[in-house]
Amino acid sequence: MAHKVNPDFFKELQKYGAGDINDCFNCGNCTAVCNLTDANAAFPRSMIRRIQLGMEDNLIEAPEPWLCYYCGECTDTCPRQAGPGETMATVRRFAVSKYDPTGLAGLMYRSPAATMIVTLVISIILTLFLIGSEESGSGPDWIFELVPYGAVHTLGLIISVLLGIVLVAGFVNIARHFLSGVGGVGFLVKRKPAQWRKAAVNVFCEIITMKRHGECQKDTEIDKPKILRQRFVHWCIMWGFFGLFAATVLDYIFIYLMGWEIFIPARILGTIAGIVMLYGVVVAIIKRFLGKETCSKSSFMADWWLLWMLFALTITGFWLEVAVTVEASNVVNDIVLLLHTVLAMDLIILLALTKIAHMVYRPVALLFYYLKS
Amino acid sequence: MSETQGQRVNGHIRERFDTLVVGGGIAGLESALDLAEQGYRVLVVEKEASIGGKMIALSKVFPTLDCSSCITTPKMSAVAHHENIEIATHTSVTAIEENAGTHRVELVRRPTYVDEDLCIGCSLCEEACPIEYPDPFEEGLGSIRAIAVPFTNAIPQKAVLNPEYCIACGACAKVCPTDAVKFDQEQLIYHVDADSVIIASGFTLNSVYLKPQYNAAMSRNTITPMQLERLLAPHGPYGRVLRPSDGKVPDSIAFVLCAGSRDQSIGVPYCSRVCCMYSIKQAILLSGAVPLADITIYYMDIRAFGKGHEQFYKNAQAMGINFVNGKVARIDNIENNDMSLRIENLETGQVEENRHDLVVLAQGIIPQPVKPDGLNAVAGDDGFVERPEIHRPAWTGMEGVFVAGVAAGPKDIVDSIMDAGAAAAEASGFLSRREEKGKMFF
Repeated sequence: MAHKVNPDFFKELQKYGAGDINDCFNCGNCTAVCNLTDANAAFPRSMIRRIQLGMEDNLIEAPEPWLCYYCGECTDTCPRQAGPGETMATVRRFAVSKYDPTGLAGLMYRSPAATMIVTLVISIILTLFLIGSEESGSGPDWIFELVPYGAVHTLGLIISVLLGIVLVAGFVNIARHFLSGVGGVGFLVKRKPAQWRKAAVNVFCEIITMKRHGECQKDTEIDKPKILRQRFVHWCIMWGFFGLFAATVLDYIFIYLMGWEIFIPARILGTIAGIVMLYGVVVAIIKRFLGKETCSKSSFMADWWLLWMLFALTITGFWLEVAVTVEASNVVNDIVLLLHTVLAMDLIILLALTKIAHMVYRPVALLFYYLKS
Repeated sequence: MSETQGQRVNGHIRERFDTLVVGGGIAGLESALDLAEQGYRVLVVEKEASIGGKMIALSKVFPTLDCSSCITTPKMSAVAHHENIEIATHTSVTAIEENAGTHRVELVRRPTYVDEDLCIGCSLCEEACPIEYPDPFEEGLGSIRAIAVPFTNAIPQKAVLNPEYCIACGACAKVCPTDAVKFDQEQLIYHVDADSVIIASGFTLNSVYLKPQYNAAMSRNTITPMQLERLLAPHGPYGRVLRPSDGKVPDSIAFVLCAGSRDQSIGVPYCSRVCCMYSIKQAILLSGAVPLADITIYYMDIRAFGKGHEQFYKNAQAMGINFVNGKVARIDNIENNDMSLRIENLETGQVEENRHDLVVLAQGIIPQPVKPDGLNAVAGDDGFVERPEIHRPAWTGMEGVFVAGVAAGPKDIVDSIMDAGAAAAEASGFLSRREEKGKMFF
């Protein structure tokens, strides 16, 4: 198949954080040192080679960038110190921008200022909508003086639908690209049912346990306690996020739709998920501050943005939980509620375009990888 | 300072030399001979117990496959017997100070606990000694007595006692026919003057433990190229090629090139220049020594730049030696003390794990760590001696100080010898200009 070559591709990729990959002399050390490479997936050198050759299309048709969890061993052992690990992260950022239909992701990755402006604009719109709404609901009035109870849920519903649309669009886009990488739909049709079943089970297990993530870091984090390893930290953030999302949905169903006073299981789930998330976020922030591990040495604006947003979200969440429990009514709590709501919605809108997108991309890439085996 | 040594300084060794040669390897010996032949008086200082350097331990040289010790031994002998050359072994140069147009040199002779003037090299002490330790000349593969002549063709043929292993039982002293064993010998510091200096301090090899991914510390069958040289040498430790862990004749041997050089992650960004060729040479010799073995050379790119090197490489390919393009990233120890090498085969783009029962890691060439005081200025960023002027290739930038061989950067034996000739020519020019000047004044 013919490929278009873009001679300026490396320059374009540098805007997404690519390091010194032109130093690479293609020795293959990075690919061989990686614990996740095998006969069906050889990276990062194959990706670096594509960048050096300017094979832009070919690059985003590859599922390999999404199989990498960035342990940093390739970067540590690279004879040319060309930063293959960081290059994989760069390719992921670039791919996200390419798959994103709105173009906002690319803008945010390329420019920290744009990230700030976009966040601010969306926050202002959300705030105006929340404060300006006259809608009321069945929630307690004392904390919903500033932000009407009904408005939160209506807006939340709208945003969830938007999230769904964006994720589906992302799914379609990435699947389209991966398919053209393996030569069309014929690849999927030819797989046997047993292969599909096995691949699906493997992907599901990976999402639950993050086993490959542990496999990835088995050499770099060998002397670290398990609870400080990347796998656990990432697992905490991911499941904390899911838990909080689930708790919010349960609250919506039982309290808003069914009119219960309080739904204890959702409250417990939310508290536990919040603690788990807070732990993951705090450890991740400390790791990035210390910058001792290769994978946390170079922090992109988007990385900090995500962590601080999550941090603020969890802290305001706990604040509200305390406020609700002791039924304290004051202006500060009203403002915290507004902040919390806006942050949550910001996150969902913007992350759908950038970081959350990998919740769709990684499983799809894994599915293609397992189907190939 | 014992009495004999004091006399030695005042009596046997002159205090003034035309040239001081730092290092008694092939480059140092060649420059010393070239200068001595022109009538200059030369002092060769060698830190080991014998001159001969690295080359005397090698099996054969590339690309001619000539016997290495057959070239080195006559040179060593010629130097030792030359009337214009003095040798100071077991001695290090600790300081060089420029002083009124000449160089004041401080030398430290570490004790050998054997009086060099009395010892006749009969080896009776060696036979009497009850202690054995891993032989440094055989790279730890064989063993040697705590008091012994360092190796068969060592020059000088004098016994040396290793205090780290000696238990001071006195068995050697009892049998010594000349009463040469001196347990109370002390370190000796003395000074000489030298008009010119040739640095031929050679090189050392970096550690095979530098890359934790290679697990060399945990493996008994990961060996160094110098160890393989000894295994291949006709007078080597076993007389044939056996792997260290169990004495088995290896049947699948891997050479890992660039294991210690061209790798910024271990601080050696430059090419060591000789590993490609000596590995090919060793592979060729191995296919003679163990004809049934599979031999694989893992390389990034083969640098066969010298005269006859490319043909040598082609011959090796034709002999059935397997060349695999790809840098070895991991070496894992598996059952039977075998090793599994993980590479990306660059011809197929596939990751491979290949099993071998003997692995040779091509270490990087790095400069000798200790530089005499006063000579630090001539070392470049990488530790090798700088040569600031391209039209004076042996000059270090310091008045009367020249460099020869690998001390100036990695190179093979042929280039080292040419370098040594150049350094001797420069030194001789410098010395004759100095004499001319002297005539003008007086």
